[in-house]
Amino acid sequence: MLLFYKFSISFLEVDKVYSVPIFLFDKERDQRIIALHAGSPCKQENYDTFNSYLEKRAYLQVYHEDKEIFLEEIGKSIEELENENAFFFKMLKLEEKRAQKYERLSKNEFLLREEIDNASRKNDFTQLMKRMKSEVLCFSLRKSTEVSLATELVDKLFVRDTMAIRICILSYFIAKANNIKDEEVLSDIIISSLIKDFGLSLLQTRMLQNFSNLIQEEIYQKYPMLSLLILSKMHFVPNKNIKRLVLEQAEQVDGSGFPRGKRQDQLEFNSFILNLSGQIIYSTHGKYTGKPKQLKQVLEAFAKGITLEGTNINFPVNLLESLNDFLLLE
Amino acid sequence: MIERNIVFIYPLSSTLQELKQALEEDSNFMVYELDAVGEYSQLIGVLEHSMTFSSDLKKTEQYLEMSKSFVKTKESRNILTQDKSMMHHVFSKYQKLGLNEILMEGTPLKNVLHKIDMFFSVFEQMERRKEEAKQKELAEKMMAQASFPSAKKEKEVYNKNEKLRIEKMASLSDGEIGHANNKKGVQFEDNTGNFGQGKAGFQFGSPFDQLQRKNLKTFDPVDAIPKLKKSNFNLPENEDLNQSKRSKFEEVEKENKKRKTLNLNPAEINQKKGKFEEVEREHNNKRAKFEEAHRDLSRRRAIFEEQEKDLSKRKGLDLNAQNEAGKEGRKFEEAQRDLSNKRAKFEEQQKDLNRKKLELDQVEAEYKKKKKFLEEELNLEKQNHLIDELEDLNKKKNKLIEEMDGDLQKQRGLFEEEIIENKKKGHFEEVNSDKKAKKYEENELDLDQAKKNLETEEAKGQKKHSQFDEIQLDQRNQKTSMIDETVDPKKKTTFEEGHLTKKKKSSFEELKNEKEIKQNQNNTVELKRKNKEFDELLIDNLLNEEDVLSLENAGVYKEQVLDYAKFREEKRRGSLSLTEDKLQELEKKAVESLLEIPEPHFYENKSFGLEYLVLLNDFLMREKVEPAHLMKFIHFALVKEYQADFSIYMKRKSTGEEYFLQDFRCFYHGHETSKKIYAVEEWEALEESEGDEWGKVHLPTWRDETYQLEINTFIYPYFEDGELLGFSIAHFKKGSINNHGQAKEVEALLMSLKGVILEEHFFIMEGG
Repeated sequence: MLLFYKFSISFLEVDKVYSVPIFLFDKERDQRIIALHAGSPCKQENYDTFNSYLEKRAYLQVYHEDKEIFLEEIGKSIEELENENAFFFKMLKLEEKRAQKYERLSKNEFLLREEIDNASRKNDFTQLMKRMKSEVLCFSLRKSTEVSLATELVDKLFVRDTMAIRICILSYFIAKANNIKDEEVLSDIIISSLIKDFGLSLLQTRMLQNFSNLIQEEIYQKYPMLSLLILSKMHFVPNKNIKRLVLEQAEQVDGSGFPRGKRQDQLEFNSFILNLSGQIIYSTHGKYTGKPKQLKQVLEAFAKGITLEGTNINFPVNLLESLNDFLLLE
Repeated sequence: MIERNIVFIYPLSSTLQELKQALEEDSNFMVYELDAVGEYSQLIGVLEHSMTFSSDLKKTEQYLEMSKSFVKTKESRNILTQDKSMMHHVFSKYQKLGLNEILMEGTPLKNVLHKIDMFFSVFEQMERRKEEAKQKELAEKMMAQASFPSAKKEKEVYNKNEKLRIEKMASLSDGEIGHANNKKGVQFEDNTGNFGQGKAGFQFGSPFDQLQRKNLKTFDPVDAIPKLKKSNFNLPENEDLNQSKRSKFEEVEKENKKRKTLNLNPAEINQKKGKFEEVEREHNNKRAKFEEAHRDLSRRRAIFEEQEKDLSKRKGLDLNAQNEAGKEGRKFEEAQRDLSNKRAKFEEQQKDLNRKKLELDQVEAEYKKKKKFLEEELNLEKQNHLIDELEDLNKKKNKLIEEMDGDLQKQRGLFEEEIIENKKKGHFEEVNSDKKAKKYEENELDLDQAKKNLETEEAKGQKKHSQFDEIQLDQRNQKTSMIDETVDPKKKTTFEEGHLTKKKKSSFEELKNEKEIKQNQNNTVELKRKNKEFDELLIDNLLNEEDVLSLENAGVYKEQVLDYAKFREEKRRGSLSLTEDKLQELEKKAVESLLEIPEPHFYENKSFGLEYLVLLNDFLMREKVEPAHLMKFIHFALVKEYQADFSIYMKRKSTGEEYFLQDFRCFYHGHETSKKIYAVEEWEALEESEGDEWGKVHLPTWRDETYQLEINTFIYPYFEDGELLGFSIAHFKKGSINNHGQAKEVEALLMSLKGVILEEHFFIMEGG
């Protein structure tokens, strides 16, 4: 429910007395002040001051209990006032719609081990994708830009079972297996896992045919930076966490990674999640050897600390151990 | 004594070094120094009691974790020394691992030593107590064995042996002993008194002389002379003599043994021993039974004697005399018994009576309780009934007031109309006015009638009020005095009364006064509001009687005596209503509280065009990457989002001619396929006219950065190592791009084709 209705200054008239208090909300400072007390006239100087504030992203408001009286006094309809708050009502509607559609699904019984097993056997991530989508679309749209962006990306992209989506799905479930439950952190992981390979589009396309040779290419070792370069060209400004995850996606525990050769204690744990899920999915698609492998086999190998061709297991032990949560018990 | 083990784990702080030195000097302590934590678990398993000191937090954590099972026992204490105090939650974490204490660096050595001493002394005391208990047990066992017949036998056997030994010693030739005595000068202890050194011949002195006089069968020399016990003899210092003596003694002993074991093999001996033990056991059992029976008998006898004594004391008669009394005594006893029976019966009856009385009391109490409860309920009902009646009366009054108000307003309206008409006409029509006057008089009469009715109703109401007051007085505990003065029922009626009388009395002139009428109307509204408040409060009050009672008991609320005249006066003056200032203040507070309400924020669900780049990435990851697919996909994204067309031009190998179509070739032509911003002919003309400019753009460029042109152009050049490889050109209709955000998205989309351009460039370079 909207407690304060936003309205434009055109709703006010100079020298008119309003019997309800009028508020001014400063978005920059997240602060509300009384612009006009009930019964005070709106003088020209008040009007000008409001105008100057409105230029600085502030806006006028009226309390919801006073809206009928206010509308009567200004001679406007409730629809006009609601139009002024269209964004709020649009988002509220979206949030409600998503909750209605996905809340029940997100709470249904979900046996991860079995679903991973099915996905591995059928080479189909649809069920995992559906589950993740239902969970993510229940995230609150009131938390941060990143959470909203993550929900939107999932909403738009989780319709096709592609490699990038698989990496994202696996990252999400690995994060959850490592007790990461905060919506904002999960959103950062989701966004990072989707955008982490943007930099590859700036490399010669032929190079991407065989990943095993890629590591030798000097330019390849800069691709996390190239991913950030593309992001910097976009209107979206990623937060520090996302930038860090993208930049550290190819670093190793022992400092043998790239682009900066950082060690485990200098690295964010979540960046290992991106790295691990990427390696697992690339292995299943045969990106390193040319021979596709079953997801289950790859997961088992990583969980046991076995190095597959083209991959490395320089990950924190607890991260690798968490992969056991994905494997059906014998 | 227990072993006092102290373990030091290196590195040691200055305090621990001092402590270590001090402990090393003390022989009571066993000091262990360890460098590696791994050694600790090996050592601690061996030590029974130990104290471990360390000053390195990491090593402490390690050794505690490694030897959890050993360090968490009471027998070991783990102390960490630190410069600074540790946070509570951190300490609790270590405490869980087994750390007992944290010593601050610089703690006096004395204190630390005291701690160590305290720790070990507890175990030492325990040890001591255990030993004492053991000894006690042993002594008790010995005592028990001494009282047992087999022990007696053993003692007898022992005594016999002793006797034999002493006899043998006595029967030894004087010469032998004398020789020995001369040779070594052995003294058989001074305490015998008679074996003096320097005597020529060794003779048994006076004790043996006396003993020889006694009969040997009854004589028990060990018992008689404890000094002669074997244990009282010190071995002589002279080894030769000792050996000679021992050899003789051994000979005799051998003979004895031979005698004992002669012609008997071990099996027979064992058999006999077994039989003997059986007999002995039987005998012991019988003896135990007999002793028990005997004990029982003596106990009974003692009881009997005590009873006898008591009886004789009470009656002052000797039992023997009673026996002598014979029949009289029996009669007396019978009478006594009868009397006691009767007394018991009487006591039972008495008990019954008491019980019944108690029951009666209970019933009575319950009866009283119920009666009280019923009375209370009755009163409440009455009260409720009265309240209902009061409410009805109030309603009637309000109705009447409204009716009267309506009448008065009508009259006022008529009168005013009349006046206006008259004013218009400029004269008074007497006849009409008379009629009006008559009408008014009639109305007045009606009003009087209504007043009378009201008075009767009021009288009824007052009567009810008095009843109500009486009930209230009776039920002091259920008083509802918390009702505010302004909403008290009594006051309310009187207020109404005043208001009504005022209204009724209002004259023709008064009716003209609009202000007063308005005031009256306001008052009526106010009255209604107060009535409503009163009803609510009254109901609340009745519902929370217990609360009121408790408050009354606490002295918060007390019965108030209302001065209605004063109240009326105050009401008239308006001092009871809230002042404007107060109202404003309240309103201000309410508004200020709204400032604290947080503003809800929704974050827009924008994707910033990232989804296209994700999908493009998926194209790149496919087994076979087709550049055409990638370019088509970007074109699709541009069309979908911005209704734009775009083409890519690749630079040819330099021809030296500065003519666009000579230098560049169209690598992807998207202007003919989709939105057809330009027709084919138009496009060719455009190429001709603008192509040279396009090829010279070195930075991503919008023709109009305000996005106001009907067709806006965006050129994105691709460079590698400072060399221009080609460029993308896109055209947008007005309105499809509105801000820089969208422009940036377009730029990122075109930028992502760099890989394709590179591929194509190298392909051309390689002569493809």
